[in-house]
Amino acid sequence: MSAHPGQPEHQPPQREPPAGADVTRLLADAAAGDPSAPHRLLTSVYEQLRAAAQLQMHAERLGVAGHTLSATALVHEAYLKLVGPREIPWANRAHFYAAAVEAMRRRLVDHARAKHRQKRGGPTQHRVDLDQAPALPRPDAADNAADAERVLALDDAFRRLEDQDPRLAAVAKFRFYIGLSVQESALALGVSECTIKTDWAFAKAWLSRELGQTPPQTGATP
Amino acid sequence: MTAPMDANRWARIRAIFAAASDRPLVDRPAFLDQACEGDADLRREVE
Repeated sequence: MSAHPGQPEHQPPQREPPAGADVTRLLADAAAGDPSAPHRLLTSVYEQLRAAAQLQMHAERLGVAGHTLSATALVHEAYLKLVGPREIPWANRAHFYAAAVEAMRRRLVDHARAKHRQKRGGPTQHRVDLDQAPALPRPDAADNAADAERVLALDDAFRRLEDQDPRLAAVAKFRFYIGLSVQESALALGVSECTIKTDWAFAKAWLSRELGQTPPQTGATP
Repeated sequence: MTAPMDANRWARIRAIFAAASDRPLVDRPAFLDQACEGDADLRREVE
């Protein structure tokens, strides 16, 4: 499944024992409904993604070409690091991906807010090319003020979508924030691939429209 | 922030969108006319 079997040349020294057993148990706990599991899971996944992203940015600054991983690749790599190659049920894996979505989203938003504070003013556009979806949420995506605006506007739009239709939002977040494939999204959410395709098409259209008409209309609608 | 829209209306918009997506581009305007039954607001939402 992974498109990145290549061996990284700059492997960081392992400072901690592999967290595989822990995270696998957390996933099982989350699937069993343990209310504290998602938060602990998010902490592990966030930390793993943060470390991987920092390594990547460091490599980019050093001009080490070929090191740039997409959000999708970062997430798959984090999965292998934290869970390993063992087969676990998709119902459990889904919790990993949900945590990865939140981790990516927080990173993006935190980064964008920092940029936003740095540079205020100037014309801003609320346009995001949703066909570029999986490529957008790179850890360094919000490197200028306009990108930062877009990331924040998109985050708001996702919140509105969550309020309106949580299941549709889940599909869109898997596809957008971590670039899960149609097949993976279907397995993780326990729906057909056809449903995922339809949902994603709708979500893209809806999100584009939301971003095109900011601020959103207020006032009474029948 | 806008409040979430009524669940029935949302479901209807989604259904019309899905049905329209299955049709060739040229057929969509006519399909939408028919599916939205003169509800211009609804049609605008779907579009």
